[in-house]
Amino acid sequence: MTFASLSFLFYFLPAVLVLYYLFFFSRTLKNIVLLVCSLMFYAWGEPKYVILLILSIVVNYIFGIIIDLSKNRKHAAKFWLVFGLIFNLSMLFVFKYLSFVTKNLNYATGGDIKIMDIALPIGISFFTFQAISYLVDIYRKDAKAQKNILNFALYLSFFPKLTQGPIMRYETFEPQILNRKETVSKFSSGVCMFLVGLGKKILIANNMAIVADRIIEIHNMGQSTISLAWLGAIAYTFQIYFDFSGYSDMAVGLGLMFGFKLDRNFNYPYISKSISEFWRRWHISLGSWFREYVYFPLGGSRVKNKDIMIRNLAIVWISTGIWHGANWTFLIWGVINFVFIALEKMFQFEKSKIPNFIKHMYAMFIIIMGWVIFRANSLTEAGSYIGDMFNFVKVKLYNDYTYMFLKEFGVFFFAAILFSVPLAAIVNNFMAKGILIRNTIDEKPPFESHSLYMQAPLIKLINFIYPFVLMLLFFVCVTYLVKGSYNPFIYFKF
Amino acid sequence: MKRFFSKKIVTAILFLAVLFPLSLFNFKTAYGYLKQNVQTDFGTKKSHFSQVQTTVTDLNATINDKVYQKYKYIEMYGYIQELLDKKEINNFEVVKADDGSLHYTYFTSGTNPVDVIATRMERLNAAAKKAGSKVMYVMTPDKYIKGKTKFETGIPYNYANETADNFLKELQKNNVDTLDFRQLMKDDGKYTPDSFYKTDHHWKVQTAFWAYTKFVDELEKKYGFVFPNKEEYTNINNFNQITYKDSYMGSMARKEGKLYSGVEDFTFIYPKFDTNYYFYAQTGGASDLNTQGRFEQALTFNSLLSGGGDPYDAQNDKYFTYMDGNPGFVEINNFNEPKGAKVLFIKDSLMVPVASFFSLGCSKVYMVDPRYYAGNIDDLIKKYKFDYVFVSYTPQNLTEEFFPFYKDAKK
Repeated sequence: MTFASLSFLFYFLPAVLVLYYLFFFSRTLKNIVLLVCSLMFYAWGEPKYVILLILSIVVNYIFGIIIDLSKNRKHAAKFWLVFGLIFNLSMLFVFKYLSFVTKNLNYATGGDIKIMDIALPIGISFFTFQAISYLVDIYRKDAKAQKNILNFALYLSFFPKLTQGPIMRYETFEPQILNRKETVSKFSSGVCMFLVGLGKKILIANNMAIVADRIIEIHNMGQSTISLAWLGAIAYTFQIYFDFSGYSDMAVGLGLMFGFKLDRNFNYPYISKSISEFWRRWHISLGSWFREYVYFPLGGSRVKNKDIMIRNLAIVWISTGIWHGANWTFLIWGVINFVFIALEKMFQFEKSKIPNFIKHMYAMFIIIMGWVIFRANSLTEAGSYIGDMFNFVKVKLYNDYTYMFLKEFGVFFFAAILFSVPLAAIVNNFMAKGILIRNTIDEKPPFESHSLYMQAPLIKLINFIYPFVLMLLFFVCVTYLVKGSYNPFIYFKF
Repeated sequence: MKRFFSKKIVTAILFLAVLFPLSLFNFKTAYGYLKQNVQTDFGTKKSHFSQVQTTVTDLNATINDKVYQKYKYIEMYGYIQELLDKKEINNFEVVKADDGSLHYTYFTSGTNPVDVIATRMERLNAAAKKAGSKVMYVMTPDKYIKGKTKFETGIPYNYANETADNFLKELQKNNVDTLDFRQLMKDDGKYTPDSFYKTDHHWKVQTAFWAYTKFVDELEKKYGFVFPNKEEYTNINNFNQITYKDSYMGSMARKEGKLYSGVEDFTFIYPKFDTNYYFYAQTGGASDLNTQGRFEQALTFNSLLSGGGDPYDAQNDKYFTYMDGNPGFVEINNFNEPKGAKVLFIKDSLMVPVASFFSLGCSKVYMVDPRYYAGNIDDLIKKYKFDYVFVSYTPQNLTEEFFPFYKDAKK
């Protein structure tokens, strides 16, 4: 089940909300409701693979207990940790990478090993990484093993974050299982975040997906032009951001409705001025996970020589690449990120005095190129597409398709550009500056500044229309869903 | 921070106030169907576990389809597209031409290959001739008329007409008789957008009637075909024409809503003179359909004209008034013309009203729609020994799906 579906909006969500708040008197019962509903949520899309999820829960729960019991015997604890990691990584390998590896082995050796056609269980990368986080946190004594399997199961399977993250560290999630507090303000913020996320996904990401997918189709027919290829690449750049960040907003919003604070996953990545900054703003929970559980344990940047640091970076970014899917395109995408991050570190690019505009253009160029490779089905396709973007000799600059896509989807491109920048923060900042000036003139004491801010006509207007705009957004999204408009789910490969 | 949260609190209250009633209404709308899904899926002998995936798929489909006030949403969707001045709707599901007519299209770099379907058609020609039948491929027109239909710059064109040209050339090269309605329409000044419904891909019933008269003429010229009472049967003045104003929503309007597509008139044509028919239709696993009586009692399903049914439901498409649309297999007995020809149409929906009128001069008309026909067309041709076999598709349907016959060269 996906959040952007009628079955979720009108069946699952209301049912969970009712059941959850029906048991307002008991934290345990509320957690059980969430757990059962989360398993149903998963089973709705993957009836068979819910068994795999339950297996992961049970096995990791047992490993957690064993590691905790062995914590005074370092070698034993380490043994069980390694055993646990092998279990989790093997599961990931079998379901996600085995077919790919077999295919490539056959190709490289001319062998004929049977390629097993294994469907990828949705969200396996997310819940497996969380299970690893759990075992490592216990081993490091950052957290205690969860004695109650239901609570642990909730950590791994909590439906808002189950299929597309954010990847929550156990030590962050665990205190909330028993001690979270549901409040009206949390719930309200959650609803607003959910609606904004839904709008991002349905209205912007899905429309950008049409442009990107059709342009790739045109490219594969050999009818692309330079401008069209660039437009397709930009459309995909917006699609993946609004899709992923839309889902993340919905996840965080849903978490808040049930009193949980999930980690923020995106922070306007397309305003970045370097690839390093991009990765501090993009899929933050994944970046944190790799930093915490791979990069730092390897020594991070605080190593004796730069070679080791480069090695560490290479391991992290190649892993990040293949985490996204079993294909050479993801691996190369990871390598590209590694190369540019390493170069930025070596030349201290972020501290350089290059104008911000140039830095931003550089970052966006690399990001867009990266997405072209990420989106392609093969390296050949990626190469040919990039060829179309730059081949000023053989490829035409323009054809009518470019005009048509811009005309038909211009409004969505405009919205995508607008919402890729922190608009609300800019408006707030602008208003705050105005108030600061007024404060200075009026010589009002600072504690009144907030009420003055609220009295500003624009803020008053925004506050007034805000609920209606979000409800309108909700209705429009439902309209698109009922219509059965184009609604791809891009996390099958993750 | 109080005020900051108040707008969010109001939003949350509004959201819940809308979400729960809508959920209840949706559930009420879908409940019967959901129950049926579960009962049907778990009523089979298969193990319950293996049925779970099927059931989930079925339940999802029902949830998406049975939505409270579904068509209000479709209208709202269309209205939004109209506001945005969109000519492309929902991933090029439908595109709007400059004259407001809707079209099906897709991205392609050129014509589709026709070798396979042309070969099958040649084999059919040979086999049917062996069985004593005359064979003709009848090309009905595509709604996109080159030089007349204007799409906005960049809207893709599917090259269906060029594919059709290639196909006809290929057939002619191999001595298969052909008839191209596009040319006949051009000759008669009928090849205009007005000959088609704006909201549907079909030609108008009036155009289909004209096509029927031309068809009779062409058969007469080519084969010396004798159409009994030709003067009477092909004279439009001997037919009643009832126009239902602003009542028709074609398949494309049903997808995008009337606020985007508009509605149009539908004209029902049927003979004034005495007729006497028996009609039998069968589609896949559905129960058989038997009717008897005058043309308008046996061959047409007039309940669709009343407008009583849900206009967004494909089952209520007024175009399907003739012969109930596209049954897999149809047999028509015309008791008034026992000496008329016995013909078979292997066809898509454009030929349905034409065949209905054409049956006036035949003793028996059989029709097969390969998409829904469970039997074997090769055997049918061999067994029934028709006087004429007509294969007829619109250019967009020149795909292997529509030519599921004589796949094997030995036959």
